[in-house]
Amino acid sequence: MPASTERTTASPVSIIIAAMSLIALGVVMVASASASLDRPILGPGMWTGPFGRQLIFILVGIALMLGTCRIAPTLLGSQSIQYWLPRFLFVLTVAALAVALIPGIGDSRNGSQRWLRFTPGGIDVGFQPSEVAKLALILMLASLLGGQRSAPRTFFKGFVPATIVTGVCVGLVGKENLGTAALLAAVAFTILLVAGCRVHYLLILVGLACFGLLLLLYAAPYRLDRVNTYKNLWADAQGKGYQPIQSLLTIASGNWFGTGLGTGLQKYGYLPESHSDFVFAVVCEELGIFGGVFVILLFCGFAWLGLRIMTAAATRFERVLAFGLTILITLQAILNIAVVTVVAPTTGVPLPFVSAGGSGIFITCTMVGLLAAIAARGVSVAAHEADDEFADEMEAAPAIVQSAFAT
Amino acid sequence: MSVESSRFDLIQKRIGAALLIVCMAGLVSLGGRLFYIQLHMRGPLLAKATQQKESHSVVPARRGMILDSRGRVVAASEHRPDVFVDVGRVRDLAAFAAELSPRLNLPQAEILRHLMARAGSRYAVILRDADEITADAIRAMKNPAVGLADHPARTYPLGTSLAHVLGWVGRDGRGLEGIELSFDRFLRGKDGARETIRDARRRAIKPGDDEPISPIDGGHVVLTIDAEIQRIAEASLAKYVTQVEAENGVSIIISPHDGKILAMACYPTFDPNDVNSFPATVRRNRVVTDTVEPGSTFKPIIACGALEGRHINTTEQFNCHMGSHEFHGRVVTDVHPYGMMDLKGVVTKSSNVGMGEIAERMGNRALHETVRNFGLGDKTGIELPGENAGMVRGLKKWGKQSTQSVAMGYEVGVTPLQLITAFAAIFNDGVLLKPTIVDKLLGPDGEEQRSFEQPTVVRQSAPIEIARYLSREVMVSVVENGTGKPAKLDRWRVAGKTGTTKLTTPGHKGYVSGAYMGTFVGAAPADDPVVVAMVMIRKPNAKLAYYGGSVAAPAVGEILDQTLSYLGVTPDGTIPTDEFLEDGDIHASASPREEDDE
Repeated sequence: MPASTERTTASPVSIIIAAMSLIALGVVMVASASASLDRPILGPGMWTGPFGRQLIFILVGIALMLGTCRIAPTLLGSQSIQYWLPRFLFVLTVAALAVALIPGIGDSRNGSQRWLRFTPGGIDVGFQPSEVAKLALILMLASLLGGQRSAPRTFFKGFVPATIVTGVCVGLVGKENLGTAALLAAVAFTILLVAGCRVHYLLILVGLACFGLLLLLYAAPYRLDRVNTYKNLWADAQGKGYQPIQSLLTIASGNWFGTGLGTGLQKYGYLPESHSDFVFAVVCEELGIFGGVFVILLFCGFAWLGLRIMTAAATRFERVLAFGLTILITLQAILNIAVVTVVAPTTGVPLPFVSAGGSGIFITCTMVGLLAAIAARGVSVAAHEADDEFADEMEAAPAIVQSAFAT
Repeated sequence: MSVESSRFDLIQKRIGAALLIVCMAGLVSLGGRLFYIQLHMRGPLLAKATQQKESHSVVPARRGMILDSRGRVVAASEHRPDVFVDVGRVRDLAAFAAELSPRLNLPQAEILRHLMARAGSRYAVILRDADEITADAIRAMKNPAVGLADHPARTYPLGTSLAHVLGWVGRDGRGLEGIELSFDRFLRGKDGARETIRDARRRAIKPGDDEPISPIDGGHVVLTIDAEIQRIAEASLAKYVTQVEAENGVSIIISPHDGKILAMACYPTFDPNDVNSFPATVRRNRVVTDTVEPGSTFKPIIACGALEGRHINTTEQFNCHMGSHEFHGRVVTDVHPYGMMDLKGVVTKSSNVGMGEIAERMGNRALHETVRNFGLGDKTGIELPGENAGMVRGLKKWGKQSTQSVAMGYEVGVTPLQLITAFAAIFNDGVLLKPTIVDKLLGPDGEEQRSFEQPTVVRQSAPIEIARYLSREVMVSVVENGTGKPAKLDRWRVAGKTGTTKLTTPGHKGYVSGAYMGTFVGAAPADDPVVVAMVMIRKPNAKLAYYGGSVAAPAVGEILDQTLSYLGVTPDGTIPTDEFLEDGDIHASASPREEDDE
């Protein structure tokens, strides 16, 4: 049918390729950024260094991505799984988030308790529940709002549970990690918007969000410092302003085409977190402004593919889910790059796919696997169902939306 | 699917797509931010990034050597590293100290105590100026907790010899005294510079982009001093100073025809390799810094002025008043009573009364002129720091009693160097030369940069005939028949003059009884002196001896004898000049790098 070609989804392979490109670039940049005079990048000790660990992480991550892509289509088709899996995962996550906050159990890094650590068989394994919370919350919201059309439009059946779920999640994450909490809140808000919540419900949320933000700032004054230092960066160049200044210096060191891969110097102890949160600055130093723009374009491409997957999703649940996953990854990239380019105050949010970090890679890979699965189902459904109505509506849609849907 | 439901789906898709497109726009605008940083913020940021990574380090230039006139090395630079310990990296201090002990040749307990005192320090120096063997032993440990901080150290192979001339160098590599100070800039050379890119912990990553500037090594200074003659002067000085239990003494040997100082010694001396173990009084080069009243040694100089001004002639007889006479209300006495004597007799017997008579004829103006004529009261201009100009007061300040005082060598202050320079003029046909202690300056590679071969003539201080009369007749007579007999030699005729001065003490008026300074200036061979030598012995034990003739003259005799033998001067006075003064191997050994090539 002619209409089906118009709304063909992105192929599952394309989104996996987009993710893999970013992951490949990331592992190269992590290798480069972890250079130090203390230990060689390659060699006997490499498996305890950032690069060696990252290699293991991405192998596991790719396995998770492909595995999810393989299993998820079947699971997505099942109503009971759509209902129970998000709830189960959400409860687990909330528990993990709560446990991580208990002093003595949660492991603090960089002054915040964000980690849960295990030592099975002597191997040190740590993970950040806040990363899992991203997936859990999106699944939960999709499950709550993506079913019956009436669900998001009703106050007590749709809006209130979704708000409570989001509030619990954002609250627990925000206690230690404001950046991720803000990200989750923004993503939840857009999901509510897309799922079809009534606008005046959402206005209540905006009010609540402002109130919550003030409360959090009051609870942890160091965040206020971060906001303040952003304003007067140079007044405290060796203290609070050090990290953003070094980030700017790193970007400025690169020029249009960069110093060349591996030749950056800021990573030698000047730029903190050069292989994790600030890896984008190293990209700009070594591959230049154009290297940075290339990464940005890759994320744009990823968002575009996610958009197409969303529009061609087989069910509402999948549509909301695809939207949530895509906007989370895209918004996180925006937040990270904004921090690195000193547009936003410093928050500990990694660049998806690229920054070093195990939990982050596992979760983002799983998300891509889910997106690919939705894409796969979208294609198969689209092949069977003709939705002429949609094509008709497209004629009437504003030009910008039309162009967004164009293939 | 119902129509309403489809509409709902459509709205969902539209809103979702719109939100994602807004996100993409956000990403693109962050790309714009990158362009903004590149175009509008880059300059100062890049400068700051470069500045925090680059470090400027100095590549020290090698300090030049000091050589004697025959190319013997008398001061050299070596690499003597400091041994330091990064105490924070040592786990077991006791075991570490035990490991270091044999290598540093220090007791284990001492090392341990030192390390405990500096616990946690990243840089605790436990041995300064380690030698090559120690340095090798430390390198062989291959232990990152112990290291060598290289810095050039100055060594003086002759030890205490020539110490006052050479001076010494501070730990920062700057010359602090002697030739090391006066030729500091020349010896030091010019340090180079190097840019290094460092990590945040200041460890070197790679060389910077700027071309490194190579250091320009310092040049070498060749002295007029002959280390062997210096040794002779020092040995005799030490021997005679200790013999009469004197406080200290100086000796100088100068070549009268070119003004070159062949030896300059002070006793007691010090070791420039270990300067801080000696008090400042010992380290002072009294030859140029101290002024003394010359005493009777002044008589030949005054005699030159008297003859030149035709105030007297050589045959004239002077009444020595049997050893005591009153001039201007002051009684001048002699050690032995004499009647009538000519000039030669007065100087030979060193008669104060006779000299008083001669001075009376001259008057203050002529005396003052004579004193100034011989360069007294002016710095000689020798290439040594801290030179004193002496003390010759203006003519107006001289009183009536000054006439006799000056003639006897009092009321004027001269440095030992000024005195021997004035004598050298008499032995050089009256031509006063600027004394010099630096022969040549060599470049870092041993090439000659500047030579001071040509002596600098100051002035004709006395006419030739008068100078020759005094040197060949009068001063020979002093040694043959007069007060200077102990300086007499078998093989060469010696000319000279004794002096015995009463000493003053700072802060006290008048002269101290029992405190004397014995001086002798002598030259040989008398008919055409090759060397002039002077010995001053200060505060000998007066019970043993104190006259210049008895304490200093034998020392000068010994010095002249050995020096002339060493120089190969034959008893008839011929000098094998060619063989010595144009010695080819001065060059060869002054340029060790050339030797290496051979």
